[in-house]
Amino acid sequence: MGKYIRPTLQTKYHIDFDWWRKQSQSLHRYLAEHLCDECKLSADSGESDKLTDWVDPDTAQVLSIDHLWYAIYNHCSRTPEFGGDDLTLVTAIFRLFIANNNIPLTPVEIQQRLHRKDARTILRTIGGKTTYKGIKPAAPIVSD
Amino acid sequence: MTLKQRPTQTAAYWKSEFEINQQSLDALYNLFVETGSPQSVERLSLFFVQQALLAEEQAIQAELGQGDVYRPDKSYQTGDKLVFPNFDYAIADVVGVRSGYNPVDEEFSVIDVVFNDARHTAASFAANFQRPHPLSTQGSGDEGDNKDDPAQTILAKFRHIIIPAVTESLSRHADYVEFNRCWLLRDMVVDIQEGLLNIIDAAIDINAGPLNVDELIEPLDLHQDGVSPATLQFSVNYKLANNTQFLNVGASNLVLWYLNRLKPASVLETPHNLEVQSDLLFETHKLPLDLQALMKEIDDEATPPEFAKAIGADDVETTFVLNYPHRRSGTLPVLPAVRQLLPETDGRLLALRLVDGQSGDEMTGWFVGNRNYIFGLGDWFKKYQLPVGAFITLKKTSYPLKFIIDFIPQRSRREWVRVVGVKNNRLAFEMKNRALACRYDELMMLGEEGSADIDLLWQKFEQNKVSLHDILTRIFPELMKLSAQNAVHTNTLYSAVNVVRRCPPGPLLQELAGDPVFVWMGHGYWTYKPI
Repeated sequence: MGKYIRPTLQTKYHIDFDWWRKQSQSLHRYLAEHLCDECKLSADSGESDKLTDWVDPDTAQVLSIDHLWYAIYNHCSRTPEFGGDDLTLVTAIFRLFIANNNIPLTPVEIQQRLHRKDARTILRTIGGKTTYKGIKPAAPIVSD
Repeated sequence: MTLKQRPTQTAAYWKSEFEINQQSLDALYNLFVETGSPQSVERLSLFFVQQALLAEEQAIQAELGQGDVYRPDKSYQTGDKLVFPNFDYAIADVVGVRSGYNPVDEEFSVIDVVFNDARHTAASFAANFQRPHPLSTQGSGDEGDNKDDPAQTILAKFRHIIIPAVTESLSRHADYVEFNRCWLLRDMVVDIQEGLLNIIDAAIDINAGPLNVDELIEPLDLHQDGVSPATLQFSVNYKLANNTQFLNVGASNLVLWYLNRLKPASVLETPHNLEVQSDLLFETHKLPLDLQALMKEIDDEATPPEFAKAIGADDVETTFVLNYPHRRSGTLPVLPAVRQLLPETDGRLLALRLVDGQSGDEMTGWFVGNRNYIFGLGDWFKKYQLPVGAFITLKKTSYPLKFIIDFIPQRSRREWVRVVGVKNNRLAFEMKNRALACRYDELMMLGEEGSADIDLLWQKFEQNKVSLHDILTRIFPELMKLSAQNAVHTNTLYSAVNVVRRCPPGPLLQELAGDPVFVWMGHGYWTYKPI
C-alpha cells in the first residue's frame, strides 16, 4: 500500500479507471446513467460490451475503457442539461471529468469550472478516505 | 519512479548541492577572456545556472542513450527499447503492438511495454498518434511547460539563494576580484601606478567635491589598447576601493570618489546636539493613545517609525518642520518619509547634490546612512535666515543622488514670535517682533539670540546631568508667561526643550504624563502647577 499523502487544494484529481476495475463496479452501468436521451436509445441497441482505447492527454498512456465514455464526451457533455444544478457534487465532478476527457484538475480548478461550493468543500468531498466514483488523486503509472 | 522535477528546478539543489567546480571555473575563465569585461554578480549567477543546466542535460542525454525517447507520434516495433523522460527517464521494452481506436482520436497504434522497474510494470501507450499531443512536440519531453529561458526562470525563482552562493564561492577564489557586485579576473585588472593615485587625490581636491570614475580616467589618459572601458573603470574603482585614502560616496549604481581626509568632521562623529542620551528611555505602549497621536505630529527621526508620518510609495517629496538641534548643526533629519526618498546606502556615507529650490545653486549634502541625518545645510539655513519651526521640503529628481531642498517662501513681514536666549545662565523666552520670509509652524517656531551662549548652556546642562524633568520645570514657567491661558502646547515644549537637550517627543510626553505637576489641558496643551 502506498504512503498516504494528505491531498491539498493543489492536488490533481481524475477518474481512476483502475479503481472501477478493482471495485468490481460496472463503469458501463454508471456511465449509462449520464447518457442523454438520444444516446440512451442507441446504447440500448446492443453495443454494451465494446471497449475503446482512451489516450491520456498528458502521458499518452492508453487505457481500455467502456465506449460510452466517448459517447458522453463527444455528445452528451455538450448538451445544456449535462451540467445541471440539481446534480450532487460528486456527480457534477464526475461529469466534469468526462467533459474534460479526464485531464487531471485540482479542487481549485474544479471549483472554477463548476462554480459550485468552494474549493475546500470540494477537497473535503473528494480528498477524504472514501473514494467516490473513482475520483482519486492522479498517481504515477510506474513505481520504484 | 514518479513524474519528477529536474534537480536544478528545486531550491534544495541550489541550497545544498550547487558548487562551482573546476569545470565551471574553466568556463568562467573563458567567459572573461571572451568578453574582456567585468561581469555583474547577476550575470555570473545566470552563467553558473546555465553551466548547471548544461551538466544536467549531459547526464540526461547519457540516460537517453539507452533507448529512443518515447513520442506518441512515432512508430515502434516489438523489441524496441524506449526512454520515458516524463517518468524520470524510466526505460521500457516494447513487447507488443496492436491497432488502437476511439471515436475522438480515430486510428492509431497501441504499444504494450514493460518497464524495467522492480515490479516490471506493464502499461500501454499510443503510437502513430496523429492528433497533436504535448509529448509529440516536446523533443526530449523534458522542457516542461516553461517557454522562457530556463536559466533565467531558475535565477528569478532562486536568486535569493543563488546570488549569495555565487558571491561566497567566488570570494574564496583568489583569481577573481570584486567591486560593487561586479567581478573580474585578477589578471585582467589594469595596473594603476601609485603615482597616479596622487593625481587622482589632487583632482578630487581641486574639484572640492566627489568625482565619478570617468571624470578620473579622462584627464589621466589611462586608456589602453585592448582594454575595454568597463575593465578600465573597474580597475580604477577596484584600486581606489582598496586604498584608505579614497572613499566611495555614491549610490550602488553610481560610484563617486571622494577623499577620506576631506570628509567633514560632522560626518565622522554625530554632532553633539543630535545625539539622544541613553537615559531618555520611554515605553511607547505606556503612553495613552491621545498622547501617542501627539507624538506623530512632531517630525523627529528618533521616534519609532511606526509612529512617524508616512508618505506614499510613489511620492517624490516630503515636507517637515526644522527643529533647533538640526538648525544649529546644519543638518536635516532623516525621518522615515525622508529615508524613503533617498537611495540605499548599506550604512555608507553618501554625497548628495542638493539643489537650492530658490536659487538653483548646488551644494553637497552628506547623508550619514547609519545615523539618520544629512549634513551640509548650515550655510543654506543662514542664507535664508530660516528659523526653528520653518517648513522644509525635500524633493527627489530623476538623478538618484540629486534632490531639491526648499522652504515655503512668503512676502517678508514682521511678526511677533517667541525668541529664545540665555539670561543669567538660564534659558529665557520673550515675544519679539521679527521679519520672516518663510512659512513656519506657529507652535514650533523659535527665534534665537546668542547661539554661542545657548551652546554653553547646553554643555553646562550636559556636564551637570540636568534631568529632563528639571529642564521642563525651568522652561515651563518661562513659556507660560507668554501665553494668555497659562498653557503651553506639546509641540512648543518639544521645540523649547530641544534648545538645551536633544529630546524626542516620546520621552517628553512620558515625562509630562508621569508627573502631576504637569497638568493635561486637552487639545495638546499642558499647564504647570508646582506643588
